[in-house]
Amino acid sequence: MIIYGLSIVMPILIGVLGSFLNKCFKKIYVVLQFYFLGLGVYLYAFNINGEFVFGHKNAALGISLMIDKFSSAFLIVFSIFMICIGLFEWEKIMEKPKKVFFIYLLEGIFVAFLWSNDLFNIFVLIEAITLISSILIVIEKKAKAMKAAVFYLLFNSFSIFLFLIGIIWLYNYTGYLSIPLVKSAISEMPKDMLKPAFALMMTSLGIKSAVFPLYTWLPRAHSVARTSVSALLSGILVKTGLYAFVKIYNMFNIEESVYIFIVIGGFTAILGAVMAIKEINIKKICAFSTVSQLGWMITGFVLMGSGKIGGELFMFNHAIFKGALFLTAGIFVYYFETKDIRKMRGILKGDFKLAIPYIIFLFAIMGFPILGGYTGKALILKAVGFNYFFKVLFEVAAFLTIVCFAKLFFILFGKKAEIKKISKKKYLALYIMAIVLIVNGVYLNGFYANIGFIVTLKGLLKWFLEFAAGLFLVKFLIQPFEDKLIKINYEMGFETAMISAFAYFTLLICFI
Amino acid sequence: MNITLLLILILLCIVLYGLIKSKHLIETIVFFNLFESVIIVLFLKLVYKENRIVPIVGEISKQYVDPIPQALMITAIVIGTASTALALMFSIRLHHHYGSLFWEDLQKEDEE
Repeated sequence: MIIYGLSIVMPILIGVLGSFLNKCFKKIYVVLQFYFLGLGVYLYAFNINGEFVFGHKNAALGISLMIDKFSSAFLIVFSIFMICIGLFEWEKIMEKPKKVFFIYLLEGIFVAFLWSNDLFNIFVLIEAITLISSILIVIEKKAKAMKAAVFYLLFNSFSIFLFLIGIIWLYNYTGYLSIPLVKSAISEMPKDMLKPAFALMMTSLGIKSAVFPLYTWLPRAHSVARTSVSALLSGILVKTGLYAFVKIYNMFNIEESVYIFIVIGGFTAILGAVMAIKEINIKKICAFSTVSQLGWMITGFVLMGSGKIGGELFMFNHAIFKGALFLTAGIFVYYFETKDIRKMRGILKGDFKLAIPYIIFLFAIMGFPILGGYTGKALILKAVGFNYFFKVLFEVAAFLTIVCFAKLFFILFGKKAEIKKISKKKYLALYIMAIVLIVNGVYLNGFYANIGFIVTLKGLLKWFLEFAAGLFLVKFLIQPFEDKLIKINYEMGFETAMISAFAYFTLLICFI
Repeated sequence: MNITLLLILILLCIVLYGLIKSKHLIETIVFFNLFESVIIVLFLKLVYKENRIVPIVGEISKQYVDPIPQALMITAIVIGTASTALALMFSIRLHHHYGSLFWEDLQKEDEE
């Protein structure tokens, strides 16, 4: 049991001591990630789950950690992701112990967050993650990033204090903070009494997980940060809100709210994709598509059975391919010295080594059967199939995702691009991610969901038809009008963002 | 209804209105800090019980106050302070660069 405590404290200690370990600093980073990978694989393979209590024998008084299959799988994904980020930044950020300190701190806090089983600990750790991410956003000290960071910090801190009001509400009625104890205590209480706490907590976690209409902080922050930080934010940190969402949603277990969350998830999925189609800034396209995919995940999580497994799978695979896409986008921005996708052409001839993983990432995010993103999407689509309207909503969202990444597909073609030299470690990081996606898609996803290999000829055919239609749409309907499309600007200010948070809260109160 | 609770709720409404309507970054930060304080006062009001003694082991016959809320609220105060400090640090840097901290100035797109 002591090993779990050490896993949380160790990264933070290494980070603090980092300045004294100059030479072997990078090696320690890699060793630590492999330690987490090993721990995750051990916990997952030996099916270790249960509650571990520190400090006191009684779960109500001690600090309790909950380890289950979901958190172990997330730990594996997290460690692979951190290895790739480390390789990608081997020559830049990894050289500076003062900057890597924040990454170590984040690691310790994130692992603690994965296992924490206590409402107040979740509150503290989410806020700590918010603070560190806003420091990471401004790691290059650009003024533009600072604007995004202050918006991010204030809006997310506001949201997390709403979560605190929810905790106060529950503590006042139950006298517990540990999630299993609260769950058993509130199962006998009338639902009307729980509604305000539920709505407050869901609004707070809705802001953290960027659902419609509360997404506005996400594209700002993710599009201005440093490449690897954007990847980290979009791949891992945005899922902290979602992970807490799953825990809290299961704790309340209010069945009436399923429909409202499916509708919210569906609209998030569609609107995120529509806004991504409109953009020409490559990082903004990736950021808006994260919003869209978060809608998918939320929908998966509120549905039980295959939907929940689909959501979990989609979350893991999304971490890998979205992080990888951000990293590739960073390399493109370095090559072409612009973020405008219209000026990026000719990667296939210019840098073939980069084009192969890039195609894999694009196909994975578009839900190509065999690759990582497919199984999760297919399971969520199957789970929403009980209602015709929802099914259409999500089929449209899937098609729009294909359209918005078909836009990025055109970067491959055209006359040979002039490329600059980049280190081999960056290629290595991208290839690791591509291999993970293939292995996931072929074998591991089916293994996690207990369904085996589920690719069908019909699915393949449907995907190719949609892809062809997407390419056609982009070529003849979107690319000619791009100049007009970019003039439409609807970024919300802080005031509008706050009002939409209240609107969301009112919506939840009224409809559950 | 309890008069103190009513006052706290009125204060909460004022603070939320301020958070929405503030035009200046520093105003928003101040209202954010007030918001956090109001939540703490609200919690302490809800768990307060009369005629209890401090939770130090002594006379077992008497009733103790619940010690958990104090521990929680101290943590919440620390968190609020950390967020406020970080936000103020950002605003100093922003003021150096843009010369203004009004939201409408900050929300203009800058050229790449």
